[in-house]
Amino acid sequence: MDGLSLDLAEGEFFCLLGPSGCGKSTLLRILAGFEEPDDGEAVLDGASLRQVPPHRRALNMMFQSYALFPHLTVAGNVGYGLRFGDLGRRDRAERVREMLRLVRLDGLGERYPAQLSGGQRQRVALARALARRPRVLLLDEPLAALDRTLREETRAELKDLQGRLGTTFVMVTHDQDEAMTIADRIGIMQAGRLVQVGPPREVYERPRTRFVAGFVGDTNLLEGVVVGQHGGLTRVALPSGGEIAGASETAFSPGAPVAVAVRPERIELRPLAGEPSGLTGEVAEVVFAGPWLECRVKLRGGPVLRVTRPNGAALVPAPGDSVALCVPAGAAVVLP
Amino acid sequence: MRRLSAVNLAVLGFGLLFLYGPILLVVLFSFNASRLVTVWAGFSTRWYEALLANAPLGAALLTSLKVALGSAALATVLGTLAALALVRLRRFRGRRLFTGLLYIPLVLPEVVTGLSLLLLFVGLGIERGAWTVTLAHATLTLSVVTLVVQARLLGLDRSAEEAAADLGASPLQALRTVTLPLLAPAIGAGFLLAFTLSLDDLVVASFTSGPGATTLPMLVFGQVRRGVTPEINAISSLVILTVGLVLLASVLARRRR
Repeated sequence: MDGLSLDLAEGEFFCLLGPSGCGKSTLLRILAGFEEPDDGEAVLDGASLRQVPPHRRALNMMFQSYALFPHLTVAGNVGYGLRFGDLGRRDRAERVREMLRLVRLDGLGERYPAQLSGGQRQRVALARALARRPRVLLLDEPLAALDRTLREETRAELKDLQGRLGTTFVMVTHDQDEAMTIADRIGIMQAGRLVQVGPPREVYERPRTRFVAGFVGDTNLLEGVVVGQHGGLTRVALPSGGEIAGASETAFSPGAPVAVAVRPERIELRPLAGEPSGLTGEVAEVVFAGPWLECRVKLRGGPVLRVTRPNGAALVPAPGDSVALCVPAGAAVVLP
Repeated sequence: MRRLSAVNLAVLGFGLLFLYGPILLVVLFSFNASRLVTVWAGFSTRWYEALLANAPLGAALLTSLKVALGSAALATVLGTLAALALVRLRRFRGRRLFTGLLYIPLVLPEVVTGLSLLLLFVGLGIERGAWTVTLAHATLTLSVVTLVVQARLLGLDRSAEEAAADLGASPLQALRTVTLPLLAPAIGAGFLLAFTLSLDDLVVASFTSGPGATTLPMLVFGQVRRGVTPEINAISSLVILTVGLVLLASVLARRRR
């Protein structure tokens, strides 16, 4: 992990997104206090957490494996952290009931973890981590062990719960859909570095590096050479002929090699009429993918672009058609 | 595998007979009415009645139980602590050495262990008795307990302990409320193993015991040298029964989990 700096806002839902092994779990473990950074520190409410052992930190963690205590009942698990606080016996029992209600497990307090389904165990782990009313809740891939439908349901519940409690959530995930739909802000990690931090829309629409563009959502990356910049747009010439104009945050001198990132759903296809000019290509393949159709368009003299069209859209080309490709201004991003 | 072939059955039968035939014979002859060990003369419980009147035997049994309980308790506490230190402490100097040293009492001939402990006790001028045997047995069975607990500890998911710490438990509280309960089956198994090993030991006990502290195996061995009596068979049968019950109890306890 290297040169990493991150500020969390009170009450936000923050997602750390990255491929496995990029250090996102390690960052979470540093926040929880299970690992000490070689250098640097974590600060909570203005106080450094350096040398503060995990049990004295006002943040709690929900583990990927849930890490429930198999020898304790559900109520015992949820109430475990309250033993070490200053709540009386009756208040603790009340808090446990409240937490079980919160995750809709009322009446299951006497069961043991082994008697629960995977989804129920996940809720117990969540209730246990929230019972101490932490300032920050750390979640390590909380939905990874659930099956698809349950995962999507739970995702919405988690978001809803976070909104109601107002607790700051920091969630680690490798699932970009999950991060995109649940987070207020996303931090993309790559090889121990935070490469981009921002709201989901910004990260999706304005990726700052090729890695971010490729990791978050599907994208077409086209290599090209800068022609010129003006009015916030950079014009890039593609080796196959034609130009694309895209947004860019950096200044490029003409002739600089760059990549243009365009989302498959932002490219428009038109039947080719008359002399080819601009970006043209031939449709190689059209694949039905449920909600959308995916067209592979081979550009003249080079790369293949993926273009998606909603299912039922008018003007879906057929394989073999010659088409003109149109990228609206602002739909493309020019990356170093 | 749906059916055992005749050959398989024969091999299985022979194996079981080889293992348990002699034991069955001991139990059978403990109910023999005759004084002669090898001649069957009808069913009788006279040797069990004779046991009840045998005072030295009762004393030896009591000594054995005291030694076994004491040494097993000591070995369990120390062995569990050793396992925790070897697995959970951060890497410390000599950790591998200590792990290796654990195996030595297991492979060292008991005669050597017994003799070295005898020399130690004599050298220190310690009067030998039941408690020197207890100490000797504890050193002998310590490594067994450590190995059993260590194996379980290595298989234990670390995140349960981390969760405890995360929820506010100090290291000691986490140990008491999470680690030890999760280790309980292994600690129990270690205790039972230590207990039976101590109950069973003749060699080390002979070396380290003093006057007036005769354990059951020592007594039996002493009597056998003067000829096997049906009474010995009766004692052996009772020991088999005890060990069998302990075993059954541990199996049942495990199944309930």
